[in-house]
Amino acid sequence: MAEPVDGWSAGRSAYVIAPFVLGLLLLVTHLQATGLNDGLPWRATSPDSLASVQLLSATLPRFCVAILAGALLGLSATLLQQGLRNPLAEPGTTGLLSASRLCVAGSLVWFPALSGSLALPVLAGTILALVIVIGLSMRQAMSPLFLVLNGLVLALLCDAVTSVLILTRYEDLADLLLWQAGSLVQNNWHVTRLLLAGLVLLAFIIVVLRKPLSMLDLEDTVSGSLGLSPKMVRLLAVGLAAVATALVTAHIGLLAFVGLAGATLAKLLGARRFLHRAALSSVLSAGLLLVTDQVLQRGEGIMAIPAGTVCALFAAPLLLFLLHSGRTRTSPGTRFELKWRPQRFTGRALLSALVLLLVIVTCLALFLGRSDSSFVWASFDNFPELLPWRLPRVVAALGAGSMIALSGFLMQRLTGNSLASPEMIGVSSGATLVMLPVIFFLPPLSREQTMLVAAVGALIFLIIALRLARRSHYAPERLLITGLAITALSGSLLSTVIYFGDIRLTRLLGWLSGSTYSVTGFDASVAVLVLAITLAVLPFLRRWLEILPIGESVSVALGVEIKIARFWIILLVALQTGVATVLIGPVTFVGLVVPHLVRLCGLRRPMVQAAGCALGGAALMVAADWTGRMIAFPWDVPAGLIACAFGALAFGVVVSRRSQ
Amino acid sequence: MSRRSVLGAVLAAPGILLSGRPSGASGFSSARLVSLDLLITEMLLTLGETPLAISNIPLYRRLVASPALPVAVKDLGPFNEPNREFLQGISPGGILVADWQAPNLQSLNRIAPVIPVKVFPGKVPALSHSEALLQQIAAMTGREATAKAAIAGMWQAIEQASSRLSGFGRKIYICRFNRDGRNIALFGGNGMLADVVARVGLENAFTGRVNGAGVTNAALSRLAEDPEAVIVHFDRGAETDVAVSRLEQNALWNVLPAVRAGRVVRIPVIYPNGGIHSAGRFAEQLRLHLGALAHG
Repeated sequence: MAEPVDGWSAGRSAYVIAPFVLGLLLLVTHLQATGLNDGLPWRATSPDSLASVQLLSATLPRFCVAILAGALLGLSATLLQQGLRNPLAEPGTTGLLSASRLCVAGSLVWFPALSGSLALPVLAGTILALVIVIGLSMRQAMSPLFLVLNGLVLALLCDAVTSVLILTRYEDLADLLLWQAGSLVQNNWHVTRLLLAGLVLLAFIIVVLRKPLSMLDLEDTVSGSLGLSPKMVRLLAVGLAAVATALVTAHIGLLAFVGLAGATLAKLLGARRFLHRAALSSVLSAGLLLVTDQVLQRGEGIMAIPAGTVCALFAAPLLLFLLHSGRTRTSPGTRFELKWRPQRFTGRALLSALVLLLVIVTCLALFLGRSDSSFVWASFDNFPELLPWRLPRVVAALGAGSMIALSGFLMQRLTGNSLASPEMIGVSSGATLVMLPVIFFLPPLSREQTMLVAAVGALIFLIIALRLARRSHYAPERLLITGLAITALSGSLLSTVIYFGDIRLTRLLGWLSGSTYSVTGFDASVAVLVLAITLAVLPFLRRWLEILPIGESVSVALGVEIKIARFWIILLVALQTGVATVLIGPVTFVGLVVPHLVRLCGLRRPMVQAAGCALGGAALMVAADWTGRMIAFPWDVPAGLIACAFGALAFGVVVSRRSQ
Repeated sequence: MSRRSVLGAVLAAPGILLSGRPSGASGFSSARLVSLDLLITEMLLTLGETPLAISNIPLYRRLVASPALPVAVKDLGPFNEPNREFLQGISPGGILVADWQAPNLQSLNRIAPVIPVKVFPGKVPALSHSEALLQQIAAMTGREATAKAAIAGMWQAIEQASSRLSGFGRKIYICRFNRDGRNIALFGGNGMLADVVARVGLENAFTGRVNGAGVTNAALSRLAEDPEAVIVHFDRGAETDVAVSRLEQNALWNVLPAVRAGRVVRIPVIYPNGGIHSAGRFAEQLRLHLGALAHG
C-alpha cells in the first residue's frame, strides 16, 4: 500500500462519504416506515398536520443536530489533542464533561426549580474545570502532561462526587440519567440553529488562526523561537475546544468518545497537517454520530436508546480494528517529562512515616465507630461483636489498596506513560462488561457466583489484552488506546443500563464505586495472599523496572529481553487488578495517583517506590473505608469514592506546593 | 399458587413469627421487623405494622409518600448496604428484603433472619402478585384481617372507578414528563399502573416494551401514535412545572390532538411499583380526573 502523502487520497474519500449516504438511506426508510413522508411539504394536506409537524420539527432537526454535534465534537477533540499534545486527550480526559455532569447533578438535587435549561450548570462546570485545570497547570508552564493529568484527576474527583449523589439521591436524578445518556431527540430548530452558529464561528476562528495552531506540532522551544508564545496558543486551543464541548453538552448531553474516535480515525486515515486533521476529524465524527442515531431511530418502535450511550459501542470496536489490523501505523508518541526537585527527605524516613501512618489508620478503622450522635471507641465487651463486621473490610481494603497502587506503579514503569493505570489494560472494565448483562438477565446470583463471573470477565479481557498487545509487540501506545476503548465500551454499556432505570441497578453501582461492604473473611485472606506473592516476586523485576522506562532502544542495548519483561509485568498487573476488582470493584484512581504522589515525595528508585506505593495505597484505602463508614452515618459511602476524593485533593496540594 | 407461596414463606421463616416480644409497648409491634425495600415498607405500613427501621427514608417519603411513615422509624442507609453495626444495635426480629437484594445480604443472618420477598411481578398480573405479597407479609405478622380489608378496599376503589368510567371510549397514556421537554417516561407492560388501568376497564394506549418495573423512556413523539387517546401524567412538583412550560413552546406538543382538545390530565404522583395501597390510590385518581373529563 502506498504511503499517504499528506492525508488525502481519492480512495479514502469513500470512508468520508459512506456514513452520510448510509444515514440518508436510513432516514428515507424511516420516513416510509412511519408514514412521515406524508408530511413532506409537497404531499402534506396542511402545514400543521401531525405528520408534517413531526417531520419538520422533530425528524429533520434531529438529522441535522447529529451532524452538527458530531462535527463540533470532532473539532473539539482535535483542538484538545493539538493543545495538549496527547493522543488520548478528549473532552472527557480534561475534566470538562465530568465537571459539567457534577454541576448538572448538583443543580438537579439542590435547585430543582432552576429553569429547565441545563445550559447554566454545564457552562459553570466547563468554566470551573478550565480554571482549575489551567490554573494548576500554569505552575508547570502548561506542560501537556500536567494539563492532562490535572484534567484526569479533576474528572475522577467530579465523577466520584456525582456517583455519591446518584447512590444517595437516585430518584432526584432521573433527569441526569437521561441527559447523560445523550439523546438527540428534537422538537424544534432551536438547538440546530445554535449548534450551526457555533460550528461556523469555530471553523472561521480555526481557519484564521491555523498557523499558530499548527505550530503546536513543533517543540515548544522551536515555536517559541518563531515568536509565538506556546502557552497562549495552547490555552487558546483548549479554550476553543471547551466552548465547542459546552455547546454540545448543554443542549444534547454527554456524547463522550465521539470526538476521540473521529480524531483518531482521521490520523489513521493519514491526515497529518493540523487543518486537514481538524476537517477530517469533524466530518468523520459527524458521520459516526449520524449513522448511530439513525440506526437507533429505526429501532425506536421497539426501544428508544439515546445515541450517546451507543456511540462508544460503535466507535470502540472500529478503533480496535483499525489499530490492530496491521495496516496502520501509529506515530511515535511524544515522551512526557516531569522535572524533579532534589529530594528533601531520605527514603528511609519517608517509608517509616508511611508505615506509622498505615498502623494508625488501621487501628482507627478497627476500633473507632459511630453511633447516632457521636464517635464510639470499641470496648472489650462489644469488640468481639464488631470485629466480624470490621476486620474483613479493613484487611481487604488494605490488600486491595496495595495491589492497585502497585499495579499502577508497574504500568507506569512499563509504558513510560505517566497516565497509565490498571484500568488502562481493560481488565477491570472487562469484568464490569461481563457483570452488567449477568446482573440484569440472569436470576439473582449468590455472592460466590457473582465473584466467579467477575473473575471470568477479568480473565477474558486479560487474554484479549495480552493477544492484542503481543501483536503490537507490547507497544505502550496501542495498549493504552486498547484499554481506553474497552473502558469506553463498558462505560457506554453502563450508561445504557442506567438509562433503563431499574432499582436493581443500585447494587451494581455499589460494586462499581469500590465498596468493601460485602467482603468476607475468605476474600480478605485471598487479597493478602496475592499481595504477598507480588511482594515476593517484585525484587526479581528490579532491573527491568529500572531500565524499561528509559526507552525501548536503550533497554535493548542493555540486553533486556523486552518481550519477556513486558509479558511478566503485564501478567502481574492483571493478576493484582483482577483480584482487587473482583473483591471490591474497579477502583482505579488509587493506581493512577499513588505512584505519582510517592514519586513527588521523592521516592524514585524502583524498589523504594514500590514499597512506598504498597504502603501508601494500603493506608489510603483503609482510611477511605473508615471515612466512608463515618461521614454520612448510618449511610455507608463506598471506600473507592472516598479514596478517589482523598487522592485528588492530596495530589492537588502536592502539585501546587512542589512547583512554588 | 399464591396460598402455597404464602405457606412456604411462613414455614421457611418460623423464627420470626411472633418471636421475642418486647415487654414495653413502644408503638412498634411484636414482630420487630425492618424493611430494605420500598414496596415492602409500603405493605408493612398498609398492614399497620410499623417497622423499626427502613432503608432510605428520604426516597420513601418522596416516591411512595402514602401511607405516611411515622417519625420514629430509623434510617438504615442504602438499600443494598444497610448499616450493620447500627442494625445490630436495634436487634430486629426479622429483616425483610427484596429477593434480588438477598444474595448480597446473607451476612445479615448473623443479626436476624433475612427473609427474601419476591417484589417484581414477573409474568403474574401485577395486582394478583401484590395481593399474594400482602397476604404473605400479613401472615408473618398475624395481621391477615387487615390485609383482607386493604385488599377489599382496593377492589372497591377499582370497582367505583370502573362504574364511573364505564362509557369512557378513549385509550389512555400514563406518563411522566421529563424536565427537558423532549423525553417522557411511559408506563405499560405488566406494571402495577398498567394492571390497574386494565382492571378499571380502560385500555393502555402504549403497548411497547417496558423494563422489569413497567416503565420505559421514550421520545415525546410516541404520544402521537394514538391521536384519540387521553394523556395522564404524574405531577412531580417543580420538575413537572418546568417540563410543562417547555412543552407549551413546543410545536409537536401543540399539534398533538389530545393537547388541542384539552385531553391532558395531571394527577398526584403514585409509586409505579407500589402495592395494594398505591393501586387503590391510582384507581381513585383515575375515577376523579377521568370522570371529570368524561362527564364534564
